[in-house]
Amino acid sequence: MTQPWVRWLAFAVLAATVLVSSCQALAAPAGTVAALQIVAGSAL
Amino acid sequence: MSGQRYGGVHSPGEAGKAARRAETAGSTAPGPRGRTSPFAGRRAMRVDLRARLMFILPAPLLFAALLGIGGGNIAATGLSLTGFACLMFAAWMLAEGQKAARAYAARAVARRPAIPRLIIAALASGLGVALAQLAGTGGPVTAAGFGLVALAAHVAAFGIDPLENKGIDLSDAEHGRVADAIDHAEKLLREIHDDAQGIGDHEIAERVLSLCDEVLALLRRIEQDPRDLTRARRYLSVHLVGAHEATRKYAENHEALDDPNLRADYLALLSELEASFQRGRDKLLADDRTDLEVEIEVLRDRLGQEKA
Repeated sequence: MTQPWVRWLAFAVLAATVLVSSCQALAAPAGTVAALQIVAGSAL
Repeated sequence: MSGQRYGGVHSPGEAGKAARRAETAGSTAPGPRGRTSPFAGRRAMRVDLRARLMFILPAPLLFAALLGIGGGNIAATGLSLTGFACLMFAAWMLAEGQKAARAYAARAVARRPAIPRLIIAALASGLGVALAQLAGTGGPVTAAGFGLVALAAHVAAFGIDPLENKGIDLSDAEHGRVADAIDHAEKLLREIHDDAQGIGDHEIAERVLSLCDEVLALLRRIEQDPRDLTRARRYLSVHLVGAHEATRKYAENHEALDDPNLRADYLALLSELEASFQRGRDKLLADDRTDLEVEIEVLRDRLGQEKA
């Protein structure tokens, strides 16, 4: 049986990989350019 | 219909005192009418915060996909959306897998889950993270690395599904028969309970809960010794199905018919069924005693013959 702290540590690693990967996709150049275009478009 | 006093542990006066005494005596102590709580012996449904978080964490991917659509970047949009779908699917599989694992853990006799949901969730997580990396700045090697880390972390954090049947040594067919019979009986009980609650009659709801207690006690007994299933089959196939049908029909028709005699008949039926299940349980115990007595007698005879 895995120790609870190992499970929590593994969960922290999993959560970090999911979050970091998702945020990287969001912050990728194409995404950033698109975001800026949308913001600029809505401002105009 | 006479009113009934209600009281919780924080209620003032006698009702509160009684509730506090009951709580001090233990959660499985019988209630004021000597009845244990409904579905006694079963664990309460637990909500795993970590599993819920897995639905929220991939949210930035959805925004990335929406921004990709805005920027006309089809590849990034496709990758982000597919990654998001994989991670959502993984979170759903995880929640379902945990539910199945809890049901498995709560039973003395259980079959392994038909679909390895936790393993599928781990694989989908790995794939989702890898796709998210590809949608971002990561190359194929980084994506594969992140995917593998996510897969391993998922397995370490949430484990894998039970892979073996559980219970006393029975053949696969027999094992399945017992697990199916208990599953079916519990499904009928849930429906009886829901129908009775829907009637909106406090006395009927109480009596049905009491009946559910008796049936559950019989089911727990069968779980402990699945050989009892053959002896108890009549109760589960005839009496329980009868109770289910009667409750359903009463729930559907009691308002339209509005007949006090019908209500009295239904209550009498519930009492008879409860007594019948109680007798069934006593009979199983008596049969066990007879089996033991026969076994002791046979052993004594054999010992006597060896001495002679």
